[in-house]
Amino acid sequence: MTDIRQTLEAAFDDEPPLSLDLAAIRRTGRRRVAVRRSLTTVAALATVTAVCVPAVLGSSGGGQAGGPPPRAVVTGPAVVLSPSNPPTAGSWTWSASPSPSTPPRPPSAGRAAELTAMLAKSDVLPNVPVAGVPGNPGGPWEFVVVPNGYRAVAAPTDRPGRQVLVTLEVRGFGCPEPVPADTQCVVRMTANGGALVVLDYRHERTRVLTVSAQASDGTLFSASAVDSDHRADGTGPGARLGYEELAKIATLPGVSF
Amino acid sequence: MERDREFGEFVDARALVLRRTAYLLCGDWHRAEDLVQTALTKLYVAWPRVRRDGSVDAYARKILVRAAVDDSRRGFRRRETVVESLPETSVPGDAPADFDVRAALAALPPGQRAVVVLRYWEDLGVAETARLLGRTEGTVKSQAAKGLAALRRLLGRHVFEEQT
Repeated sequence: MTDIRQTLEAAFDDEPPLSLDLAAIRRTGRRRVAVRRSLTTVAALATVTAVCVPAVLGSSGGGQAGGPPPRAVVTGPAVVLSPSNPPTAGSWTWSASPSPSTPPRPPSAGRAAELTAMLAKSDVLPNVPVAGVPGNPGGPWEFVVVPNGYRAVAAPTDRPGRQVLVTLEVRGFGCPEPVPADTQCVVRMTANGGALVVLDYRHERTRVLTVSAQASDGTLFSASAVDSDHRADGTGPGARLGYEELAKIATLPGVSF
Repeated sequence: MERDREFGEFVDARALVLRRTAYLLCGDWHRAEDLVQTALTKLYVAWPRVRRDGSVDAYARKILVRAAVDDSRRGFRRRETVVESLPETSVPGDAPADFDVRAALAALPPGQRAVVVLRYWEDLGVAETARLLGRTEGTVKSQAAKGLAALRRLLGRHVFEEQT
């Protein structure tokens, strides 16, 4: 009797030397990891979008309506909402402008280019090296037209798995009610009486921090820092963008449809 | 980068074995190496998770086998390895040195071949083989028996014990 395993081993008598290209495997693997992280980011952003479902809190009108968007961001009194601390009537000292139900002007490539130039000339962008994001039609910090408005994305090259997203959309301003799981919503007052909505979504190793402000036409201008491999809050070069940096972007003057 | 270091160590230790399994499944060394390269790329992507789960070997085997099975279903290259004639069936007592296990494996239907390789080369159980190939345990048992019978017939006196 011959053991079958020994019999099968007889098939290897002309075995050539191994010539696997380990470097090529790693390169291809890294590319796929990057694409996968992009997809994770898309999923996280979809969650953020869901979180931002119109839920305007405070409806007395007035407030910052008609005025310029808040510029000087101050970490003022914050109202923290979470599933364990739902909003209650009368808990707000600010009010938002009514949000339009349709774009004030149809989104156009021309306006996207204007917004791109506006962003590029501003001093609100973080001073970090960035690249475009695979699958996104625009370059880094370049606005493109999306179904609900405009979007610009950039990926800091010093930390894989991170992206920064800037959007201008027709969307209500305020915290959602109820606040979804894994999400904390904070409303921060600015020095000039305006308000910023800060959404902090954390699920497993994905963290998305979004700061939104109302643009002058009542639409929503948001900046999000997406980290698909979040482990801990970091500081220093390469750290994820924080509230202050995102707020600088979200309060860029002159942004509108 | 820790992933690269650990992954490199795994490749150094296991690539040869993986290529042998691929070769038994497809019968072509070049194709076997392509399959291993494809499987290792997928493994690299999933490395943190499978490393954490302690299932690196099992995952590598799974994606390799599935890639080989998919490849055989597509029919590419398999035509190149189909033998024109079956090896002569020798009678028990013949000289043992002239059989060709490669030709015998190539003569097996792809399903039987995969089952034989997984059961008797990779030493997987019936349940694990069934799960890996997406078949029932009954089918695996049946194909293992038929595959062994065919190999016995094709390889003549080199009869082996059936492992259950």
